[in-house]
Amino acid sequence: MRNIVRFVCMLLLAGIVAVSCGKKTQPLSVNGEWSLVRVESKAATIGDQTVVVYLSFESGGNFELFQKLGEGRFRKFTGSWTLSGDQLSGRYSTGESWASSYTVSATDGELVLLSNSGGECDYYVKTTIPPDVREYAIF
Amino acid sequence: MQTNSFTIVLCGLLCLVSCSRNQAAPQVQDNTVSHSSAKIVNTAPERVSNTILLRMGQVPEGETLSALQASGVTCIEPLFESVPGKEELERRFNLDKWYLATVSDEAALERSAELLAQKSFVEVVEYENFVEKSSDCISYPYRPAGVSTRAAGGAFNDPALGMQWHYRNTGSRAIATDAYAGGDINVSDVWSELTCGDSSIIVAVVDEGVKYTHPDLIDNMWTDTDGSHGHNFVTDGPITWDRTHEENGQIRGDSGHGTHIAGTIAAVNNNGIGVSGIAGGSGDGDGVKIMSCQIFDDDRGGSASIVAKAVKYAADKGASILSCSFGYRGGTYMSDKAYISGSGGLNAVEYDALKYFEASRNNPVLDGGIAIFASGNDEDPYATYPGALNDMISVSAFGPDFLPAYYTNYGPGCNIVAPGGEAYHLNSQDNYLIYGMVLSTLPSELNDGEDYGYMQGTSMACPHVSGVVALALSYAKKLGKTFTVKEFKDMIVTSANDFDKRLEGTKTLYNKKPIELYTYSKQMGTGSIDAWKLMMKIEGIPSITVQSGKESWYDLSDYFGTSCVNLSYLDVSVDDKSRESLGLQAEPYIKYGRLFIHPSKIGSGKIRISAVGGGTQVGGDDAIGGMEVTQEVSVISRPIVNSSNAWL
Repeated sequence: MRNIVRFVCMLLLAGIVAVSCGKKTQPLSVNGEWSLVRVESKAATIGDQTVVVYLSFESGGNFELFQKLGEGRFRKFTGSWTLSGDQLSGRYSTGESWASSYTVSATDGELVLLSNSGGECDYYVKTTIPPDVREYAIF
Repeated sequence: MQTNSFTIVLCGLLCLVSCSRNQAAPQVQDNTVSHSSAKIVNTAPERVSNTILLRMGQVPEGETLSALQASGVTCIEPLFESVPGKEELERRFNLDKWYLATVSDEAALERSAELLAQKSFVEVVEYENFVEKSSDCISYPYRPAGVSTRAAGGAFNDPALGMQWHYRNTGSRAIATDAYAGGDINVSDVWSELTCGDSSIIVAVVDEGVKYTHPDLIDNMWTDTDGSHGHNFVTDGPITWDRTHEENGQIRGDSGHGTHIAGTIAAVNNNGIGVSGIAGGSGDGDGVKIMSCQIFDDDRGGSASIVAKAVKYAADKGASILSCSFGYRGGTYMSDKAYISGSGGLNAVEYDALKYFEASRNNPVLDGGIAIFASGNDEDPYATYPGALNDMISVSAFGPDFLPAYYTNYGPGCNIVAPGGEAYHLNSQDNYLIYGMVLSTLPSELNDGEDYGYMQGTSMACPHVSGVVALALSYAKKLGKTFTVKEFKDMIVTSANDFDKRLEGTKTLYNKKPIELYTYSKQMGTGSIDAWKLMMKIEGIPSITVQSGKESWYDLSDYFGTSCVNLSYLDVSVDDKSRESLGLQAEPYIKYGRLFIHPSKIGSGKIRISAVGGGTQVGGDDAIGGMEVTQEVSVISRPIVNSSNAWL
């Protein structure tokens, strides 16, 4: 099942890349605020656990990550990111690298991050991060 | 003289009482002797008493309670007042069965007990035992001149807050040269960010009477429909707090113990005077309320029947928390069975009342109430009962040095530690030795004219936990969260900081023999109470992420406190749905306070982990022990994880 999902994800990405190639090339950008809507082919849940993730990629190369995994309040992480071609990588402000780099595609307001080391495919949509998430998150 | 008149009246009412409860009609006398001694669940107290507690079953037809006169009983009355609407709960915990019998001859108390035990309808005969306050009851006035600015203040404008190191310990040498920064209950951020209390939460102070007219308490006193702020169960009259007498040239009696405890829980905050209380509100009338359930009055009180009545009153009048800075003398009971069952396999009266309290729902958060006890001040390696029961929370004490207080009980039955204060710490200013004690409200009548003063003891540690629990209920109510009493107790006991890491070498106090700290290692429950951690537990602990396809571990500090490495774990269990979702090929296990887990696929699940909250074994029939605490760990299995549990 997992392999099928991975395969479908890869196909989708390949399709997106192909479509992109057919059009006039736009520079890939992840700038802006994003909200996780799906993990692989599911809604933003893993099993019974609801996962809420907001990402904010600033043009200056910094990012903010707000996440709520299951219960509790949002946790905030910050750091820096780099986009090279379609390869997105980053580092937390603690110095720790992201768990994976990602192959990125962005189309029709949707950002797709395909993990290069594990195959997890996460879908984000453009959003505005709610002020209370920013205000009450634990850093 | 008054007593005699009262007795005569009651004697006249003897039959009336029995008839009014529909339990009798006159007839035969039952002289069954078999098993009678087994009904007597304890031994006669050293203290003079002329009352005996009886738990009675159905009185046989034709029998009357007046027949008990032959056993030397002059009057008998139901111990508890029944409350309309709570009859079923009263029956569930046998409260409708308990009677208080007064005997004519104190010297013949034991003979009367034996005769009473011969009655077939008498299930239990219990002598009145007496609890003691968990403090030396010595207080020292707080005199603000010259000291109030020495320590850092805090969230409120109460001028003495800076001297209350037990709320925020900055390590100030003005308090003690060995004060330890962070050795407190970590409540400051809770006040500034989350909650300062909720006026619908009521905490019953089961103790000496609380001076409800105290200027720093009056606004946070609970008030009954008749205008009272509680009840005096010793005299069955109004609350008192300043009764003393002279004995061998010394003043004895009330000490301000109850008033001091009340101030720690809910002295009014932000009112520009005196001290702060843990759940005393923000100054906008949002402090929790104190109910005074007086069980000590001068040198009287403290009997099992008085405690039981006070506990039931608290339950019936709306209290959610019992703050119980008392216990039976150390060694009176050495196992839960001995306490609950006595020698006859039958229940003790205040245990029935405590269970009734725990089942009485008085707030929207819990399905019942929570009782907090002091562990005792005899330096004993075990807690005193009732707090030592494996399902009650018993609190030991630390000083401003964040080390065990010299007097505190420790070991089995002690579940958690809190600031109890400690004299004999030198400070940098004038070597005055009292600033390391706990500063709170006191009745000026007993405190050299001052409204505030210092005391020490596990009696002072107990209300720190009661106050934190009151804050926690306030916050849970604010968030609309609900819990069972068991879940909440488990959260309290596991919201703790490591207390073992500094237990090496010796501790020295002024004019006291050195204390070997290793004695306390792994003997101070789960660690020190942390208010912030408890609030975060109420919000909910985020799921942990582990990597699918390999074994990994996760530190359990968020779940069991930073002492998790020192705890004894009892069980790790996973339900079938979680096992399937995570694709577990092997059982998860605990090692060095870490959960080891090997999920084979992407998914999620819940893992239940049980540990002993205080000690290495759960208390039970054979010995005093800790509380079984259970935490549920939510796990998400992903192909990618990093050490900070961050998503990317």
